[in-house]
Amino acid sequence: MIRISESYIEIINSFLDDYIERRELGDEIYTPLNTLLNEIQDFFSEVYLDFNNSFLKKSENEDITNFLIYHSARNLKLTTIKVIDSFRLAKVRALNPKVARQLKSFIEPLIKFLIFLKLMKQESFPKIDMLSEELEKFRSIAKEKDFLCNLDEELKYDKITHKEFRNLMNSIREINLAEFH
Amino acid sequence: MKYFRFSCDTNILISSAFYYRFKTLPEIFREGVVYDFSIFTMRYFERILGKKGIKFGILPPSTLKELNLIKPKIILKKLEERFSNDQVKFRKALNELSSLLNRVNDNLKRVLKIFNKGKAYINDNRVRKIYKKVDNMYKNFITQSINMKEEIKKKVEDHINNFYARYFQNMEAYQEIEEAKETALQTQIIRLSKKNKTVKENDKEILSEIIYERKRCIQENTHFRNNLNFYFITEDTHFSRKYNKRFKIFSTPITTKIKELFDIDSVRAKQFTELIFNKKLNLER
Repeated sequence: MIRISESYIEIINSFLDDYIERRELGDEIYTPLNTLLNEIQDFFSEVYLDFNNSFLKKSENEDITNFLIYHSARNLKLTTIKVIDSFRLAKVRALNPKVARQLKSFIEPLIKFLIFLKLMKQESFPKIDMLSEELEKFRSIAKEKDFLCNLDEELKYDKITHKEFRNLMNSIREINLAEFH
Repeated sequence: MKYFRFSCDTNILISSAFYYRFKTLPEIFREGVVYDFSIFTMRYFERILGKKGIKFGILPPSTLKELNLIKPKIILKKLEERFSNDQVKFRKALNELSSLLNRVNDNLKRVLKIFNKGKAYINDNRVRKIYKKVDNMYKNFITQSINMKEEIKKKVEDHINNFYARYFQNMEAYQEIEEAKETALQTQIIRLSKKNKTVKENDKEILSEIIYERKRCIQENTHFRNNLNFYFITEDTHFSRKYNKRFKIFSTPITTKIKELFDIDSVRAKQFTELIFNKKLNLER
């Protein structure tokens, strides 16, 4: 079910315009941003449950697709958390509203990516390539606007230690890649 | 020294993105892991791109297309292997693997910068023509492979009877060694007759695209004519040489044929790293 609409973009943009004009950040933006985050988290939980219930029970391609939707939703969630954190940090440090300008050009891709993922979840056509490409586009824009979590932040948000991550990376290297080719 | 360009298969490309820390060259050669050779090669050409602004790599479209599918396959394999029966760890594993995929994608994005994207699409008539030649080459090898063991046996027997019989008392042992040695030399061909070692369509398509890219390189740069080494880095035995530890020899009939017919040097990741290490590559544009 797609609840969020493009009208969100207008609401958030009107606050951002105000901050840019006043050259000062306010607190009003947190309400729509937190609502958006809740919406993303609900979607993320839904995606997780679906994946957990279907993993290894359907085809390999479906498992890959479901993982990519989960992976994309997680990226979306982490990016939205970083957006909110960036506002908090800028407010605490009383910085100029650069972050508002950055979000103004990023809020539309962010919400559209959520809508895209929701649509993809409902569709049954092959979508591995499309999901991979759209996620990379989203991550590139997020990086350009300074809203993409780096590895440290990503691991911190999900309480993953560097040691665990390093061990995982090393264990992947034990896999014989020839069997996938 | 001849000019050079290189390409690689999907596995080399993906393995070059799986790293947490970089190893030193002595470590890399000591451990001899394909992942590390691939990482070193890509890092080296990233530096060359930074310093000289030259892209020596060329990637055919089929390799790029395979990337999207193989990356999550590897992730799922890990997920299945370690956590599918543990609900609590399953979620943690998903998040860890998701972080890992982000890291690998970021690394790949950087690695891909050292390559020019190829223009050879397998549906293009020019590439299809090359494909027919490649396909014929493998069909001939497969035909050869079917009776190869018997042929080796006969060849060795004749050889021994004709020349060495009088010098050796233990003929059977000698014959076994000679047969094993000849088999090792022909491993590349013999493997083709095994069920799980057949050459996939996709592999032949990738080789055809690489051959086309080499031709295109020469057409676009006339000074490359008769003066270009085109390397294809791959760990697939139906492309690059296979080492036999017992006799310390390489099986190379397919690799040699690919060079002879198409002028492509199929090399393993370690071989290519050695070329870099020994300064055997001409780094001029």
